[in-house]
Amino acid sequence: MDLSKAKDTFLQEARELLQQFETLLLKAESASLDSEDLGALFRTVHTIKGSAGLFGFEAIVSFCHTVENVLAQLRSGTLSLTPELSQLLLLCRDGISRLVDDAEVSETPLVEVPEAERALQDALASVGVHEETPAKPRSIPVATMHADVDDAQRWHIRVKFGADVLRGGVDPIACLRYLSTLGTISGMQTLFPSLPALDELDPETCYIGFDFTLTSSASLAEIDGTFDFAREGSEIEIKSLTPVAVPAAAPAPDNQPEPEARHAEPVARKPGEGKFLKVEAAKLDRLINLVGELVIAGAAANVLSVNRNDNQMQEAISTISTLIEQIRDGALNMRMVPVGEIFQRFPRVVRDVAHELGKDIELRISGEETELDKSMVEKLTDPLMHIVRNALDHGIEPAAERKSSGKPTRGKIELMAYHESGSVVLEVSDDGGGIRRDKVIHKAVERGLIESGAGLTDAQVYHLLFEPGFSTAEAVTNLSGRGVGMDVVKKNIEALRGEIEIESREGQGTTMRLRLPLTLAIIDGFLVQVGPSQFVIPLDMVLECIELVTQESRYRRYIELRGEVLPYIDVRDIFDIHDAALPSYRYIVVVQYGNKRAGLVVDHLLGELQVVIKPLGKLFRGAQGISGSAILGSGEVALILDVPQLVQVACRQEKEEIEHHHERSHTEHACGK
Amino acid sequence: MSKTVMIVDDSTSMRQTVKICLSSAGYDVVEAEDGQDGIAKLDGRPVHLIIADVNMPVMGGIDMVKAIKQMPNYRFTPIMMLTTESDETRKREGQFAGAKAWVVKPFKPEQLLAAVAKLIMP
Amino acid sequence: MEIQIEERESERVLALRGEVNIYHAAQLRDALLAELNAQSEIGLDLEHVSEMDTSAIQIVVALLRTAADQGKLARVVKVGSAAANIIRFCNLQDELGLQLP
Repeated sequence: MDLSKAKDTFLQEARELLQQFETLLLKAESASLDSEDLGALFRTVHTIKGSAGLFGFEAIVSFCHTVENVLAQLRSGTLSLTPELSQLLLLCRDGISRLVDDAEVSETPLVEVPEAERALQDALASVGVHEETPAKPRSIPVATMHADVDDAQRWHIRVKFGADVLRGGVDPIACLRYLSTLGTISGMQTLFPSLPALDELDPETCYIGFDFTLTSSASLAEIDGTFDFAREGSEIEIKSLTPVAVPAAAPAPDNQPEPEARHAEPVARKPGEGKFLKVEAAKLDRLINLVGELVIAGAAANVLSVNRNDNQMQEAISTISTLIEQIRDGALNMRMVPVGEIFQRFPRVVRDVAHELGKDIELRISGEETELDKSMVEKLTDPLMHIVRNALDHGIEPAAERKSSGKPTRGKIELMAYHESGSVVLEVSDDGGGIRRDKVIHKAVERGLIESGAGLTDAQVYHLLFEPGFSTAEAVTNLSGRGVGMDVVKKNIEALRGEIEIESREGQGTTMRLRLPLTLAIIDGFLVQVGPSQFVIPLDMVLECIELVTQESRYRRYIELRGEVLPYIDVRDIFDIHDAALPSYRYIVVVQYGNKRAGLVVDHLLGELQVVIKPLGKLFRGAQGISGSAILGSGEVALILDVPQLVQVACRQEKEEIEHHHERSHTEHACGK
Repeated sequence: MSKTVMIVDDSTSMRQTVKICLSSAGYDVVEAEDGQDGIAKLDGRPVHLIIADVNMPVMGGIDMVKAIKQMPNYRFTPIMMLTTESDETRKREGQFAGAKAWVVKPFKPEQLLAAVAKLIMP
Repeated sequence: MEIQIEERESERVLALRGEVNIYHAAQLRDALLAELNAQSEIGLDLEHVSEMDTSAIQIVVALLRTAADQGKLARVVKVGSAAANIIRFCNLQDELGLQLP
């Protein structure tokens, strides 16, 4: 029996349930829980305990049992949820979580609850009303088939089954067949002591009885246990025929004392408890890989059909292309998960950290339903956690300071997610003191990162925060001053083809904005040609294409587009493609990233297509202006232009130009005076 | 012909484990995630044993037992409840409703197999 | 379960087929009772029974006992492996007048 697959399911399920547990407890801090919530709270731990037992995770079972006991009392109303108890339960949640982690990695599962958790368990046990059952899981007698005949005993068994046994779905003969697996039955006599005549016989009433000898090494409790499900109205007699001291029979479970009655809690389906199919991530990845190949193959077929000028073929292929597109979207969509999966960890973090810092901080979350790629979710958690901790620690001022600057003493942190032109944006805002420009510059100069702050824009100053080893906190606090800095956050985000923006106003707060691509695997691209080379521009960043009228001067790098200045760069310049003949008409592809626009000058527009992104090899990873490569339907390789970077370059050039121009006119002006 | 067991539990890992455990012993297993789903999945198919959790969303185990006992084709199908020690009252309710067998959670796979074997052989 | 009344060479036989269990108990009892009331000799063919449970066994035993009480003859004429297994397990060969290997 291989339970390893089920174990993974258990681990995942346990973590989800612990998350629910936490969410419910945190909810209790602002609103009181109704009976439905308390029932759900109970069920989370109850389910973990039940499944943990199957895998022999005794420590989890034992720990959950104690927690469950308290939750049962909360549910029945004999205990109420005080802030202290809530805190203790949260710590217990962490304890269970640690045990679950241990269960994942350990070869041999913990049997005893480790000391740290033991302490929690004891603390919790003292909260609850005296437990009526020991925390130790009760073991049901299991048939242990000793091959050793020496310790086999002989038993004389007489059973008369109760009249209603059959109606309960229990078949006495099946019962005895099970018993025969525990040993050897001999001298079987089947008895019908009160079998009526056929015309008076009730076909669903049980009239059967047995008298036989059993030779078995099973314990009396195990033998007796055979009749557990058929006890009602039955007479069972088990006598030892072996002259050996026999242990007393285990008491039938029915004789156990009855705990007080509990009312049934309402069972309504919670929103979000939808129907889901859990699929192994690797399977999905394989599917997406195949879809990627399909996209390429489809594009190849398309190229062929166009070249052959076969209309019918083109029509057929266009239908296939539409379907491939849908399959691709569907497959990618399967990888999309709501960002709430990350966000839901934050209420607890904010609460705990605020506690630790002695600050009063409120967390607001919006846009939890915004979806992004699952693989990104995993890689975003740490950076986001760091940013939030940073905001808590350095962003929000201490209450006294807030009061003196006329703000409410309660600080506010906002987590937000939304989609914007082909990107997912995650924002962390605080209403704290903002980033103090002078302080950042001071520190950066001190650290030798810059010579002086003169001429730096705010954005440039803020980006100093991402330099390795930069920390603005005067005292290194326990929370965010531990070496891992914002530079790591930036690296992580860039590894996801994302970027970070900072907006800050002194005295009013800071917003950190993470902008990430929707997915990592396949994009809709716009194919362009420059000289002999083909390039792909991510389609969702393309706004429009216009004809480049004349390249008036090699120095003027902007045009006026509907009353706005649009800086542009020539792709030929970026990649040094100068030997190829210039076509008579060239084009500007207008792209947007974030709130910036720029133009990219290309030779030919080849149209839209889907491309599968292949990451660049090590050699090209540092290459400017390229974010990846793609295989085209023709089998050729095209480079994917790094639009965010190019937009930045274009805007910088434009600015320099303007400044240059400004300086020039300034000098002229001065001269004129 | 192997016997079919239906496991009704809202916990995926519980269903999966029960399935692995019973399949390895030669039973066919049908899964359902709550009482309502369980009843829907009976749907005329031969089911020789129903294993059901007591505590489930939508329709709990006891209500499901009551409903099944009204279904002509399933009223004699043995039902085994997954109960807990602290749920003695619920167990009695379940027995009263017609579920004559039970396994106390947490249990080990072999305990489940033993309990199932007392009712039906694979 | 299916019940067929077959007129064989020298006897009239009730042949049961398929699963014979608690779900069919009422039907089985009624069929056997009707036969018992109408005939003086009853043959029961269990060859094609795929499964039998306690309820089926006790009805068969009741048929044989009731027939004997009424001075009639009821007997099991044939058994298949499913029926033979359970009869052997319960050691009911004598009761049912069968000799099983």
